[in-house]
Amino acid sequence: MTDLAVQPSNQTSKVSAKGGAARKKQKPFVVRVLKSPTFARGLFLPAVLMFWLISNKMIEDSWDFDSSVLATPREVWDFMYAEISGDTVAPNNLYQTFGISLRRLGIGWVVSMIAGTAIGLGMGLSKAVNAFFHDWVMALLAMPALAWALFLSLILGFGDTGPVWAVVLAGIPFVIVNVREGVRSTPTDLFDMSTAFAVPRSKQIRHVLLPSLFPFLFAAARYALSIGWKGLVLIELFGGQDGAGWTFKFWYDAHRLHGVIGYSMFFVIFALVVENLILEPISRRVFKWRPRLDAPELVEEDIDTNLEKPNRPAPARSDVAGTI
Amino acid sequence: MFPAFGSTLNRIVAGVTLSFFIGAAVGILTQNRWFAGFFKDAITIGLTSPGLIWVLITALVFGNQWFAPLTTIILTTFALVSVNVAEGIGTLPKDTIDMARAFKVGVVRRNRHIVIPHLAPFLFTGIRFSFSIGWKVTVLTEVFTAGSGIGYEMRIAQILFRQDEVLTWILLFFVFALFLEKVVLQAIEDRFFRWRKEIAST
Repeated sequence: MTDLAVQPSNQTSKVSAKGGAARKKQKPFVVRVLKSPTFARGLFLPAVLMFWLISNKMIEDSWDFDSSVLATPREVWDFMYAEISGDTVAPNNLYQTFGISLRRLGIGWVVSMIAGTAIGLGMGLSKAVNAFFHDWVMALLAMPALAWALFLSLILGFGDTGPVWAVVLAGIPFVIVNVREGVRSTPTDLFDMSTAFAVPRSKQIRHVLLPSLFPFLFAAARYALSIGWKGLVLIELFGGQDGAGWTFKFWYDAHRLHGVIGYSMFFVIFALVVENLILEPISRRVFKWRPRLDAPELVEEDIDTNLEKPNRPAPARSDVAGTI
Repeated sequence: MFPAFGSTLNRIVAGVTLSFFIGAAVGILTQNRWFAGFFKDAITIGLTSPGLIWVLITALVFGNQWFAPLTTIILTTFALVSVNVAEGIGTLPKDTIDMARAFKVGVVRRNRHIVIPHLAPFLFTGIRFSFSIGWKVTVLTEVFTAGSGIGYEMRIAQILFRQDEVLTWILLFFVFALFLEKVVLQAIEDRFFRWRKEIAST
């Protein structure tokens, strides 16, 4: 009896809920679009442009300095278009500039990966090596790129060596720390088992050590690339005669704000392209065999405290945080 | 030496504080879905764009004004705070709040005893990150725009090719920042979390 009594009321409530949903959908289309997050996201760019134009106008009206210092979005766009089509006032065009910088980045990155992996393996496998390098790696981790830029540009002059060294020094501590962490997290039971079954050493390394090390190595490679790029731009700015950072500074010294903003855009676009079109597909390909496991947490600082703070909220930040 | 340190420290503290409030405001706003959509790209840009870009842009736009470094610090660090605040709000303990509501605990006491203690670790993580980026960016802006501060002294020494002075300033600045980060911030944090030993153990 109670069942019978309950059921209809249940149904009616369902119906009324459906009716409510239907009524909700009948809100005017415009309101729904205006309230959607996607629309809000699209609104951001126009809002920034409006803010830009209005503040330009206000500054021009209220201050009487030469307002040609300020750039308009139109000028920035024209600048970027000219640069992309290879037409520029700077000594090298966009492609040559980025080519020069990329070559330096590539050399420095390879060096830091090889040396960093070697030192990291040593630190992970031997306590003595770990004790020897530990403090220095910690100090390197915290060293700002600006320090390297000023120091190396004075010591090594304006050639290629300084920038390459800057990339190496910026990237190497992260490689070391992450490789060390990777060696430490290698499953020892698998090692024990393979030893028990008399698997040869080379096979052990190939099938046990490398697969568990690889995610760490990959995370380190990515981070070393992004932080090396920032260090490279900075040292080219102070002690370079060509390259992306130098050209950025060229427009700054010429007091061309549209050039500076345009070049900033190129940096951002460059980073996005490298991240999304090159590194992301590679990482997806490399980790295809372990679909559920994400790349490990990147070790960035406090390398010894990770294990002791289980209750600490995981810091939210992206891979390519805006460190300089 | 001390005037240089003083003016740098002033800028860092002012910048990080301002960026903390702005970042927290943005983080609270992003609880709303519409604002979350609106600020999505702003936060991505804030997290990913290198500080150098903002340094040069603000240097050209504002020149030697005192707010050029402040703007740079805010633009480079607010996103870290807002991401952390948003995450903290997302994980607020609903059951405890419901219980407080059921027992008619006032709004002030509820916020004081549940919401703020819960958010504190997230806020500290945000402050820590924004500080660790903030001091580097501050010195970088001083290199370009300021007429005082550590960055300014470094730049002058570099222009004059005085390697020893450059090294001195770099080391001083490095030690100074590490001291602020690992000792001062850590002391404040320890004090704040004395009641929760497991969090303060870093």
